[in-house]
Amino acid sequence: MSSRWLEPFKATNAKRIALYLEDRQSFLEALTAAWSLGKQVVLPGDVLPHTLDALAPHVDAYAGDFPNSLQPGSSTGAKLTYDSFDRELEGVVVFTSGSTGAPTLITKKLRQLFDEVVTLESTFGQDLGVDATHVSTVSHQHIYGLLFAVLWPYVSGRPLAARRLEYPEEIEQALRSGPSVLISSPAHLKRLPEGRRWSTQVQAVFSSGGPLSPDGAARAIEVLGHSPKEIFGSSETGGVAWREANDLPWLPMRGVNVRGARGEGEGAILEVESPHLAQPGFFRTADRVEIAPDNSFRLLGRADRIAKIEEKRVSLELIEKTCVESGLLKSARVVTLDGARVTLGLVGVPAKQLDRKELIDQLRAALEKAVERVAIPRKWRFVDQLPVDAQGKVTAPLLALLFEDETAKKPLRPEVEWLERTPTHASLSMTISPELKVLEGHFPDQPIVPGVAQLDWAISFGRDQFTMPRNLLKVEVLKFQKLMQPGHAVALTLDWNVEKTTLTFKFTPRSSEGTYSSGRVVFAA
Amino acid sequence: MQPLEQEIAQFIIDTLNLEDVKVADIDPGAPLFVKGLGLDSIDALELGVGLQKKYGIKLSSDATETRKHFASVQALAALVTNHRAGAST
Repeated sequence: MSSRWLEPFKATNAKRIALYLEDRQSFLEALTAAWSLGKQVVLPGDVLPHTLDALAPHVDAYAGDFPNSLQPGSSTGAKLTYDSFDRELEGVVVFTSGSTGAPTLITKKLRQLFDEVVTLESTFGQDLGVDATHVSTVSHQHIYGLLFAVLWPYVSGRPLAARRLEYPEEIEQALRSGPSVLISSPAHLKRLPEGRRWSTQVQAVFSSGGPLSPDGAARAIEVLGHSPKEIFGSSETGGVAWREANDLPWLPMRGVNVRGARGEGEGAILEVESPHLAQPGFFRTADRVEIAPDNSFRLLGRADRIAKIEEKRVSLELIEKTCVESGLLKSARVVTLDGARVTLGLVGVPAKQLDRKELIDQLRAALEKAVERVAIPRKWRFVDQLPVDAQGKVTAPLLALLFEDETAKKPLRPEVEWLERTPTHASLSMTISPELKVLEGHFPDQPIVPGVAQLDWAISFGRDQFTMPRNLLKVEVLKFQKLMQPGHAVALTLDWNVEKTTLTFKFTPRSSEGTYSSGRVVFAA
Repeated sequence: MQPLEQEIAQFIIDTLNLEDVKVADIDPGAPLFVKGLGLDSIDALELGVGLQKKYGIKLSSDATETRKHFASVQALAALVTNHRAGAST
């Protein structure tokens, strides 16, 4: 391949070039041009102000999608093949989140990268046609995308896609238009639209960045017709192990040795020996594992304060430090909260008198400069002091307790569909789910929605729609006529009388006659 | 706010399990992503899945076009309205 980047790179004395480019072909041309000139390419994962500040001391020039940076020239030069470069050149530096909040720089010699790609080809290449385009939903600024979506096709001579694809509709289009391989991650696979098998020419699906849930694997099989091959690895180690079905243990990749070292907490700390590491010998990771006699292993979690949020490596310390340095909080601790989406919860001691919304807005603004958007906490708890255990320590389980009501709670209100919404009238439709908290404890054998809960729902949905005064004065003509039970399809009509500050409600069955309850709630004007 | 806009605002809050956000807090014309509500690319995926589930809307492969509909509550409401008009003819 000739390169549009030989010209600008030859013209600069810079030895270490920061590169950030969305255009994947141009990115590859820039990499190979730099390597042919013996230069080093430094890859930041994002272009946030905090990252650029940290990057500055490590680079002499910027190329690509930075302001005022080097840009490609005209296409020049002979074909740059991967075996024409100096294998010992420290050709790539990957910038990633370290656990202390300062970015970690991981330097890769070209032989590490190319040898790993050769292993990928020998392990998985037989499933892929020579014309399969490497389509990816992951960024090539990180090691996984760099190896799988850029260097593997480059070395094997397969086509690479023009850029990263983010949305299901573009992914479908790309996989349909020709033979392809999908380089993806759990974030995208588990959110493929359900219910329809895509007609594609995809030959293999890879997932990495974090473990794929059983639901995510099932969705990928349903939509793509392939069980994703999961890769476990890290920026430091490259690929360590893989598996083809997500309830199986991880199998070390060819040439990789694993062993467990004793550490705090459950299981052992994973140590890895691999030809793709910079140094011979075992490298200690921050992953806790359980290793079987045949060297396959199961992952038990991380041993440091890095969280993976939708496969993005996030330093919890950086978030805490940023909040405290902003002057908004005296102290702050962040915990991960499980759910449909893993999110972060922040517990903070405010340093200023601000109302809750204002405080959250300002904290978010401060964090946006330091961490990617997915890493900004979604739940906030402000306290006078951080909770401590008997030893005076702030522990993650104690902090998680502050969010427990939120994460573990059963719904208090049913999910509803709003059929009509005006400033004085609303009608809603709902199905009484057996999950509802209010069904508990009334009659054990015959769960019902208690009358007081129906009254509460009427007021609470009323508040969602009408501007109602805070204080309730009295309830008039309250009638309960029929038992409301799990599985019932229920309609609710609400009318708000502005002059009389009165809310009239009526719960009725959607598909039969009668009334569950009705009444008028009068508010203090 | 129009009734459909209110419904969409509620749909966003429920789908993304947003804490500290009420329907009344959401300006229907304000951007949902980056500025405004400050949603991220994962939220965009979740909303895409939710739109299909709740409204039967399948986004087409012309990504730049369809994702314009995610700009604001108003834009999403227009998408739902168009979809309903198309579905009933």
